[in-house]
Amino acid sequence: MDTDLELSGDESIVARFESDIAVDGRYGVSYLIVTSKRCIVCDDKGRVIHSVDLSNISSVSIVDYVGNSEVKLTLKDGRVIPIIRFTRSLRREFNEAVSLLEDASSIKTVINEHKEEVERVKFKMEPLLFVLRFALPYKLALILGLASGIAGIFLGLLPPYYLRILIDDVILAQRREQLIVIITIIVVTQALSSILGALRSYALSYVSLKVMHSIRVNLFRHIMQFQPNILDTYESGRLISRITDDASRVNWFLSWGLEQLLRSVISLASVATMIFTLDTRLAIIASAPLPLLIFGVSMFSKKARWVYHYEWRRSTDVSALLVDVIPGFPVVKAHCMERYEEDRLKNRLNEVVKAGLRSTILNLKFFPMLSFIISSATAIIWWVGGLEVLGGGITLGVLSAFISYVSQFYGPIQTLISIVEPMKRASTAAERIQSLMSMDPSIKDTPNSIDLDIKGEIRFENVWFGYTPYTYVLKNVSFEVKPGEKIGIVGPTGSGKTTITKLLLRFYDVNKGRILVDGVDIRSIKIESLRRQIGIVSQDPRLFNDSIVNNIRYGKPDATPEEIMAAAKIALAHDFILEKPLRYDSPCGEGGSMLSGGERQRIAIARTVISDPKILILDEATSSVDTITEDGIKKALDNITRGRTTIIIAHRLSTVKDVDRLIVLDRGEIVEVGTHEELLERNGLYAKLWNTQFQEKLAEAKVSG
Amino acid sequence: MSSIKDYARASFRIVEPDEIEIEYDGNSDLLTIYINGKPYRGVEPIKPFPLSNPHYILFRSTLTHEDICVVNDIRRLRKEKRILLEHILDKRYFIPSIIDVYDITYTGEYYVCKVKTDRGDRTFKIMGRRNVYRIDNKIVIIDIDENIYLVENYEKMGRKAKEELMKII
Repeated sequence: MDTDLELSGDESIVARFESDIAVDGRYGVSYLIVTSKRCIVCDDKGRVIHSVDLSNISSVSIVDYVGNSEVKLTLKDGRVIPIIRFTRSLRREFNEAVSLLEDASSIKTVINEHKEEVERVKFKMEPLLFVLRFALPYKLALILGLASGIAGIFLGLLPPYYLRILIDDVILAQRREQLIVIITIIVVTQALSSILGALRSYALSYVSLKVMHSIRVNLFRHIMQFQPNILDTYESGRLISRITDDASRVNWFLSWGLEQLLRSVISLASVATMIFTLDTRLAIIASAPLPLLIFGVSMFSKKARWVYHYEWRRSTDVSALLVDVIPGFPVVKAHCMERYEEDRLKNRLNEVVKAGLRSTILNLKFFPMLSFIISSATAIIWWVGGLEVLGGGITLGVLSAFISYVSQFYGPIQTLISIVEPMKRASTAAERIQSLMSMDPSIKDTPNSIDLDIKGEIRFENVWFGYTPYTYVLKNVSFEVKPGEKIGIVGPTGSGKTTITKLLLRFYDVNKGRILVDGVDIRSIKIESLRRQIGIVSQDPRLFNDSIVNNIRYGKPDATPEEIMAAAKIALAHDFILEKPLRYDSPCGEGGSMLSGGERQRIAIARTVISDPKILILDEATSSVDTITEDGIKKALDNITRGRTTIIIAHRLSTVKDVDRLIVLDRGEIVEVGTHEELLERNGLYAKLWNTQFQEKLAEAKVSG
Repeated sequence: MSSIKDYARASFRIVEPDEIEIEYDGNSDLLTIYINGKPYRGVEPIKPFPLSNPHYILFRSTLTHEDICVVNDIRRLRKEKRILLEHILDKRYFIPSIIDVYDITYTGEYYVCKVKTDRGDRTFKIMGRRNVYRIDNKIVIIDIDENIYLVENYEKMGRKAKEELMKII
């Protein structure tokens, strides 16, 4: 950007943010530049539109309008200056700009983040070269596979050569004694060729299996570094597809595709040498279709890339739908939505069929034409060669050897053409793997992150947070929980109760403000250290398709049998587990499908309890159990929550009325804080909610009684 | 703040082999156990982890449903105590070990498994992979009638048995 921006001697540019709305309000470019002294706005020509000293700024805000937003500066003299507009696509970037302007201390951090971003974007290489690194640890086996394949090519050149000798010098020359020698040579050559073929197959299969293992483990490990918010970007079905389908396509390229490519090229070159040596005129005829084939292949490649990509996307749409719907099978049945889901699947499958037909038609436009060209060239060689034999120009042996070589000549060409399709698929798969592997987790430890032995003090300071850049779910939330204190968070649905727990576990980072645990900003604590010491039992716990003991042990891998049973006992799960035929070794089924809702919930509580968390979060933890079981679990939890910082989120207010303090949330804001009695006395939102639930209970009692 | 370790220690008393005496009560088909001389009647021995830790025994009162104590490894008990306990546990945990597999055939609805177990030959049916699950090298098979079979160590099975088992795992 050329600019008439002049910086003073000790002034430097800290960050630059590009907007997609020009100064005249049309789509275009304008810039917000933050220097060490000023906030500057330039138009696309670099002309300075606004220049405000940082020392004059009192606050910075973003005002959202329909389809666009605007940064406004409030100056110390009270004036408000709208400085730059941008579409909502850039909300996140301009949030950073605002944070940067608001907090001089954050300047260094943001600059670093920008540097990282630039480095990441620059880190680009061809996707197939990128994935080639997975094969490097197995280079010896790969070289062995390639070498035996190439040796096989050279051995393959011998039989046509001996065919010429057999016809011209043995059969036609009536040299009976040579026959056995030539036949023996041909048999030995074929035997060697078979051995080399087996060696090649074994070596490449070995590489293939190892590479597949490596790609999948690396992808899985990389995905596991992300926080649950990755599912906001990728649906789980698409992530599964990366690990399964894409990995196998890339694996095919690394183990077999690359070898076929190399073999075909070498084979083509060596056979070409042989046919030109045998008869130049016939060799020229054999080579005549080549330009046409090469042109055809390149045209095909251009079209195939998009057609195959489109086809792949349609099949992942189907996987994504199935991954979404099959686990929700009971919901589908309960709402009688079988036809609706069937129609949705049909529509997506129709798209797969259409996409498949599109690629089939593309193939049909190309491959039959290719076969016809090759057959025609072979017929011409027979015709011209036959005339030459009849005219005495060449021998029958030479023509037979030539025809034999020609079949080897077109073979690699056909292979090269036929691997275009899987190569394209592998290339797009590699591109997707590269893009995922190059993605940095947005929430991660820094080199300065610390292990913290948590005592249990929690403080939310002016926390603002939204899942999308447009809407804040929590607005300026501040509260404190003392070590060992038990608090309840209540409020209407959608008031932001569960979001508080997600922020505390650092599944997301706050947009503004900070969260402190024992006085330390959680962004400075190692994520694992933080999460190991916070236990959460959620409303709809996920159990793994494993035994009960392994599901409980998930909370503490080195737990003793007594600790496992103790945790189950606290969660009132011990007795029902002992009634199952395989006791603690009983399988839970997929997602815990072999257990009832209450049983699942109690095992999830045991899993949390066993980890001995310093901070315990019960997020509607007893909402799916009956009131008798809930009372039992509450009593049992008293053992484990005593003296432990506990946050209980509950919709059913009777669950939390005995806690030390209640925080009432409404539309993302704290509206009341106090004990149950204090809040009833205040007669605010809590009292209203309590009375409503009390009336409902009374009505239920009347109906049943 | 009570830790899980403390709670476990308070809830499950681990007894050493010498601390426990066992008597079988034929009338109730239950045990009377003595821990350091103190008697507990109507006690049932339970394997809480019958597959993953089969030698770990929990003694539980059938009268009070109280967990009385645990023995970490039944094999460490004196021979007569161990034999007595194993005899009682034997019928409570009838999990035959599959030692050979003759044939597994898919009929379109079930897999019909013909096997040799440590309790004799047996033919049973399973629905499919959901009736089979693995714990390390062990394979647990639950047939359509909820009988349980165990392959103690898949890797140590014969070649033919492994090939047959591959149809269902």
